[in-house]
Amino acid sequence: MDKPGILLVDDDKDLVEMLEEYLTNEGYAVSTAHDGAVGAAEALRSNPALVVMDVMMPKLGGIDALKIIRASSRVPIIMLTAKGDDLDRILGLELGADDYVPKPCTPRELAARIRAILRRSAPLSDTMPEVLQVGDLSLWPQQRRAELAGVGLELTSTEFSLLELLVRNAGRPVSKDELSEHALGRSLARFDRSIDVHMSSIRKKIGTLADGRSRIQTVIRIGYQYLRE
Amino acid sequence: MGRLFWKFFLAFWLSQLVTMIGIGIAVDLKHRADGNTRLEHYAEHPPRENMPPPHPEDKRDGAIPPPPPGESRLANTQLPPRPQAFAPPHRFFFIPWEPLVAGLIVSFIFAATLAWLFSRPIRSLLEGFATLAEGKLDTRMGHVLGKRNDEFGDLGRAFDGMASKLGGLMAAQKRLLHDVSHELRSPLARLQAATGLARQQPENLEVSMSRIEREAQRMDRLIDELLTLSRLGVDAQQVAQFEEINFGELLEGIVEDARFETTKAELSIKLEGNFAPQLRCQPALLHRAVENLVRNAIKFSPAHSLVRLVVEQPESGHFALRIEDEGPGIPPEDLESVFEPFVRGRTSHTITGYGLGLAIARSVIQAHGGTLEASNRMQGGLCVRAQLPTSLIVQAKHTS
Repeated sequence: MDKPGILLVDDDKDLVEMLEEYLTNEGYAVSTAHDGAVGAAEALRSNPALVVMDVMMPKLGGIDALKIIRASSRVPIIMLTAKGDDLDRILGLELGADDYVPKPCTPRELAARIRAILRRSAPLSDTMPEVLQVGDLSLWPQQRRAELAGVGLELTSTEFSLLELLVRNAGRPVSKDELSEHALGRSLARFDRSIDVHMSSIRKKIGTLADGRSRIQTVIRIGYQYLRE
Repeated sequence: MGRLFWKFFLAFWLSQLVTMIGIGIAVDLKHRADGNTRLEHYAEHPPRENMPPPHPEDKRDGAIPPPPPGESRLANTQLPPRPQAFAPPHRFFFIPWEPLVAGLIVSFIFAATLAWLFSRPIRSLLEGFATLAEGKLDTRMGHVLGKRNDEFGDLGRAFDGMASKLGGLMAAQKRLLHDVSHELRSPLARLQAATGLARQQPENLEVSMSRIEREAQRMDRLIDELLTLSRLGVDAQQVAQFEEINFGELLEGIVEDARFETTKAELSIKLEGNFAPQLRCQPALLHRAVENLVRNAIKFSPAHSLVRLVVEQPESGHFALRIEDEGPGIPPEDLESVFEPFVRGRTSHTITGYGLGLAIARSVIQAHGGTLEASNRMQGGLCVRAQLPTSLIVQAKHTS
């Protein structure tokens, strides 16, 4: 199997050089770009397995590059955000980033996040094709494909993983920690709103039930629940 | 209604009451006295024919019109018969109830209005200060007091000026703090990446160690520059002793160092002008400021170009040093902001540095009572002009 390709986009050339070396040693095929415009173009051209992108970049910032990539690609994206800059983080997740890593971070932490996202976004081709069905919603976890009443849903990799876990447990509440472990490969930090942000964008995409209720219900202090009709 | 209102109100009202009673008594006394002397008085100053005879009601306001001078010259006319109404009242005290009550009410309204007019703007100013003290620096009094054309209006405008100045300073401080933390994060991120690499590849420890060292040095330099800047902002006068040095020698030293340091091909650095005064200044800081300016010029200079340092002759209390390069210059809208901390040229993200050099240079020049300005040269390139007051000059010396 080919090495998974990773695109690193950051204007700090020294940092990119070191991370490139680190990730190459971890067994990835790393390519780099130093501003948002080149990064977005490269992400769409070379179709890497995952993109790691800094939010703060000259010329075209990470958020704008993210919008460009998301307009036509569902490649998993990890945003590097300044620690404490919640606004950027939430904005990134809302615009379809899969996860974020606060900067400065250790390369080991970054590699762990990359691994977690790649592991669950990689289609498992060696098992039997499986279909999950609840009401008019169908999921094909192997192909990471979802349909609502026969119409394909445009879900990012993380959104798919979250929805998959909810559907597998349809009718039962799933805790936020479980959701985070499954979709992001990490436990949820305190005051971390990542899961809520992802949930809100899934809700927007799948709409409501015929009777107007939201398909995904918030279970206070526990987590979320996918409703069986 | 606050205490101030009641104080004003009572003061005004009481004073009006006292005045009114005082005048009433005075008029009453005069009235009595007049009763006795009126006959003689009128014999000397008979009223004019067209003037209505004075009526006792008119006297209560205390305004007894004195007979105009010269009237007495006409005092040869027939004495009119004295009307009965002029007779003094027979009561012991003359109390004019109706006008007294009317006066009370009028003075009540007047005092209340006056007190309100004074206390209201003070109260709103007080509220303004309270909200400002809570940290709401966007508090403005203009909508409350700004329309007034008196001292209260001025006070309101002064308050607004102060609040917006404070707001600006706080915003600048906040931005600086934000920028500082951001700038410290970049070397930290590289430091962490380097330690991660060291862990991953223990065989390449030497490479990683030198990287870590380099990042540590960068952070040290950044903090050093920040400290200089913050000291300059706070108490520039006290930081260093003023000493006498020769400006020409200082410049020569900097140019020599710059020539030695620069690795750029065919870059010539020239010192021009024959004005080399003896200055009383803070030599270390001034050296640093000029060095920063020269370094900046070199950084943006293309190969085979010229960096000029020109000392201008003193003129109307100032002399100046111009540093000109043949680089790309700066977009006109950024000419002012390049002197702010952490602002780097838009085109310069490939260039290393923290964007503190020019900010430090400007603070130093300002601490010496001068100004530092940047402009684009007609023939291309940037000109940074440091203007210093001639009061720094101890002894002018012209070199040949």
